[in-house]
Amino acid sequence: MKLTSVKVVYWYSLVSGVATGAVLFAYLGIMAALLGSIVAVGVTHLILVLVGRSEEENSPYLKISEQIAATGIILFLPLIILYGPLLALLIFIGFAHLALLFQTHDYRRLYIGLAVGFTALITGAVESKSGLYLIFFLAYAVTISITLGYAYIEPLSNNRSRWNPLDQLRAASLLIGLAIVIYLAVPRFPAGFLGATPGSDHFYENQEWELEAEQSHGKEDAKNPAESLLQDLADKFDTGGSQGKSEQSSNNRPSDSSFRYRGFEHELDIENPDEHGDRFSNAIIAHVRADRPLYLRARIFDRFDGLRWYSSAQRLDKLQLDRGEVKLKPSGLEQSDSVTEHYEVFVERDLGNYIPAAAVPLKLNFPSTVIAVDAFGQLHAPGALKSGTAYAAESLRIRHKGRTFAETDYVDLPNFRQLPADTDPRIKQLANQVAEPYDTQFAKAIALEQHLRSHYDYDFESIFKSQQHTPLSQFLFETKQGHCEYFASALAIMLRTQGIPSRLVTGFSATNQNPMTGYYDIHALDGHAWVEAYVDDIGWLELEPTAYYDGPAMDNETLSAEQIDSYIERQLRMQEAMGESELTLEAVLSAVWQEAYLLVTWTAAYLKLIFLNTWPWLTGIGAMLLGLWILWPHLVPRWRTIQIKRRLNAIHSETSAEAISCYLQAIDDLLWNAGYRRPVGLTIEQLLDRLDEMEIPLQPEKLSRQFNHINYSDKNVDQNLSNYAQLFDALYALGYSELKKRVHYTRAC
Amino acid sequence: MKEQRLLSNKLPPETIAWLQRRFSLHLIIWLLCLGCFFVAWNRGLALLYGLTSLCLSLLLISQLMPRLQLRGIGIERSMVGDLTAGNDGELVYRISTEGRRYHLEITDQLPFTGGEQKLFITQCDKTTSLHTTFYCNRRGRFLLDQLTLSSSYPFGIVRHSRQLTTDTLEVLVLPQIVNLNRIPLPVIADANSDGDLNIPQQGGQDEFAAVREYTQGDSLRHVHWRASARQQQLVVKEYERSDRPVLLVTLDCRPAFNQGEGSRSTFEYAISIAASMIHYASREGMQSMLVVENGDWHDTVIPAYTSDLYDLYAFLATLESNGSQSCSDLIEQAAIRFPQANLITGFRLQNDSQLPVLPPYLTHIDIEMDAESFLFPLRNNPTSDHHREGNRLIYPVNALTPLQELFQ
Repeated sequence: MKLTSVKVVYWYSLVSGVATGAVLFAYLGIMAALLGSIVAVGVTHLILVLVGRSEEENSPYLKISEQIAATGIILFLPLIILYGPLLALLIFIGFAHLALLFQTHDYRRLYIGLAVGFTALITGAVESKSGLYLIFFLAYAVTISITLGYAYIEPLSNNRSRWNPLDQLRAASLLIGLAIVIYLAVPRFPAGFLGATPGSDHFYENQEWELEAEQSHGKEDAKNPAESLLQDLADKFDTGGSQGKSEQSSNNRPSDSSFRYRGFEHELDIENPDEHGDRFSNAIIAHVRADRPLYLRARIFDRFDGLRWYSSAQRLDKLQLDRGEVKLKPSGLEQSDSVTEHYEVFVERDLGNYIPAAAVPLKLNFPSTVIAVDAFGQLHAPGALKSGTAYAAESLRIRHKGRTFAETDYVDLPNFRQLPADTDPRIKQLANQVAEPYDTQFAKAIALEQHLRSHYDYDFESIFKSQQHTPLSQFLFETKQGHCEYFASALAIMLRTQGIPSRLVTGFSATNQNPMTGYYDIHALDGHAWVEAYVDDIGWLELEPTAYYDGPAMDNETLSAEQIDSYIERQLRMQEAMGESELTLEAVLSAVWQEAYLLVTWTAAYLKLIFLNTWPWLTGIGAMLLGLWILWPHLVPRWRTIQIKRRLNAIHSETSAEAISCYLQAIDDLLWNAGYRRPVGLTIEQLLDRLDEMEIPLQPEKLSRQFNHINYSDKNVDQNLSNYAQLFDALYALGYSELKKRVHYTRAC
Repeated sequence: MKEQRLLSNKLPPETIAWLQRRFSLHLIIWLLCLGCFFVAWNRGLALLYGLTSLCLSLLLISQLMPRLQLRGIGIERSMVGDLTAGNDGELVYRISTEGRRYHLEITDQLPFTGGEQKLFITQCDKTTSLHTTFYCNRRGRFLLDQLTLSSSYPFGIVRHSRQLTTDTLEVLVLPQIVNLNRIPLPVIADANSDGDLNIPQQGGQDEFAAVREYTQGDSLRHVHWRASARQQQLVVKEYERSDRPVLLVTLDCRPAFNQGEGSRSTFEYAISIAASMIHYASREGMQSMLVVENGDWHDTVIPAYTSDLYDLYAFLATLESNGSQSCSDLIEQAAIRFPQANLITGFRLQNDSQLPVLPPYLTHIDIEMDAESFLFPLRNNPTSDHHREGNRLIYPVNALTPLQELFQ
């Protein structure tokens, strides 16, 4: 069928525009998307109009189409090498679509074009990490539903169809509404991660590290590099290093070899991660794709001087990557309760030279030839991570007694028990008071954690006020509010007062899952500090003393309404923390977008909540309606049959004329129910003939004589109507199915 | 051939047909949905789960909505006017629905059109009437009581059809009647004329036959004033010439005579010619008779100036070729039965050499049908001109002969 419909061309152009816009949005941003959409709509429309005017057999555009397709094929290989398979595929799809456009003479090719456009939308969705992509989804759903509708009805009505716009909207709304319901209802399975790792925009090299890695590779023993480093560090302490062995160490500054924790300022420029922002921009600094919420460790600190934390693990062991992959731990660590978590990290803002990874990292796919690992097992990149870097990792999440453990290996360093010389005695008193009722280290640690979570408040402002130092006493006994560093430091010290080895961990909380994209958004404010404590010779227990954070979860949960709810709450709190911004056009637009985004998210959250709470009812009602819909044509006629008999029995006629009329009406109703409509003007004789054809046992002469006598005779004589009663009973006894069969059979004859 | 295919950038038609048969839009969407779901699962991408949901929604709506659209619909059919083979007919569909319905396709098997009638309704409110015209190419009596209702609403992806039983509509398609300009006149056996004479005009030496209602165009000279006064309306006098021919048409109803298929067969052509000749004769004030034998002997006398020939046409509409008597026998018997007839028409296949023996004062219009041309319509079948052999006027007819020019 030749494509000549103006409406189809118009709507198809819009579909192409939306698909192009979506892809450009995923790669280049909103402005490119808008511009690209407009250009794509215009170009598609123009090409289709030109192609529509030409004859397929002698189309002048065939050669152009072939040249475009050939260019796409030629470019495909260099593009794979330069930009990776996904982008190369996308550009190839673009060329293929353009080539196809020049040949879109008929509806078959139009449908192929729609499929190609949909593939482009899929490719864009793979790349996009923004919830704004959903707007392109909605636009695509609306335009494709109307395009498909017109592509169906225009050829059937010779391009003169009149489709009510309200109905068009209704069809599109139905499509979107049902898609949302399916989206909310369909369970998510843990990701498979078959095949390729995420493509990174940057590649890291460090020749010095590579040389070191090669040298160490030669003398490599079976031991894990991090373990060797830690053992070296322990040996250093044993041989009387600067760090004292005693629990109550001096207040001396650690040696210069220690790495000093200077708060988040060093890890991340929290004051202004977005160079274009005002006072503070809570910009997204990374996206994490994972099946569960994770805490990504960046640094581990073991020594506290009363105000600041220091890390003793300064020596790095270099590891060479084999085709971008390195195994960090030998396999066989898995326990019955452990889970191997595969996740991908997409860096959106420049970071330090650490590689955030969840404990215990087993395997890393990183865009470099070499990485380094420190004594605490933390990973370091050859250079500071730049925006656009992407890597994947596998970590072992160990679960015990309902809690997660970072590691099971332990080397007893004095620093893990070290307390500042001027530690406030009230801290130990408080810790004793809280932990006293419990016997095990595990229980004591949990009690201390819960105490901090329940008795202290979170205060965003403290982040800006007290960077780089932690006034513990003030926090614990006076203000009783602070940010994560305060909570983590307090817990670590309280644990140490109870003889439990502990350390402070900084990194990122990837617990804020965007309900639209499924990615865990890491904002600037998700830069976080928490605690690990070695308890009962089991392992390093992860502790989250800050009530504001939920902590990493072990359960494999799909996106629940509660999580969505908490996501919104977090967004609102972050907004609040950011404070008022200046009244500029950009700020207003940003605020409007934020509000709209929150509104959509809220709606989605509550839809999901309703669904989660009512799904058994909804499923039951759905099943009932479906059953009713299937059974309706069978049940209702049977029910009507019974009703007809009941109605007939309920009537008490005064005269024979009335009675015969009732019988005939009832017979009529039974026949009508079985699909036979008595034509107007059919005489009693003809009706009886038809019934005879249906092989209903009757005495036509008697029946017709009786009818005529009662209705047309002047004599008003009461008659025995048992013949009519028998006729009705015979029809009724046949049942609906049999009567229907006979009616159909007679009609066919 | 192969090169041509490559150059024209075309797939072989059988490949295209196979692809069209195997790869429906429905299947393609399923494949896209599966592909999308696989990537969504493999990479754990929520946006792709969203696209998968969109595909599933599209498929689910495409499966459910057409079924819902086809529920609670009743259709009644009615014909507008009489149907005549070879002419356009008009059919009215009255569609009643329980609510508003969209994008309904009606496929109605109309055997008298030689195919099916397809109709499409974009929107249908509670009751909607739809007029459709079609070309009628087969005479006969037909019962219409079923049609197919389909819908692919709203996206045209999945088509759901339902067989709908309607009230039985009896359709009578009358045989094709062509407007003949003339028919041959009686000839004398030894005359040179081929019978190509004009019929004398009305009036003159005519004998009064009857009165009839005045119609526009009648001469005022023929108004029967006394009868008009009596009947309180204008009536005119009808005259019958004593020398006006009396037409007798015989139809060979033997199955052997019926060569060809459907409406293009010798029997159908014969019926059409017979009906047209009687129509002409009646219009021109000639008495005519029709004689057929299809198991039973049927003869019908049509008086001159009979305007209502519906019963005759209805009889011809349902006439079947199941007779046993040969054409020559039928002509001979008919000539005996109707001695007043002097113009006897018979139909004969070209290869049928059996001719009736008629007295010399009777003119035999022998319509000789070329069976080959009906059996093999694509063959070039040259036809000879009409000619005369004694009192027999021979008119050769093949499948391509324009009937209105038959006697010219």
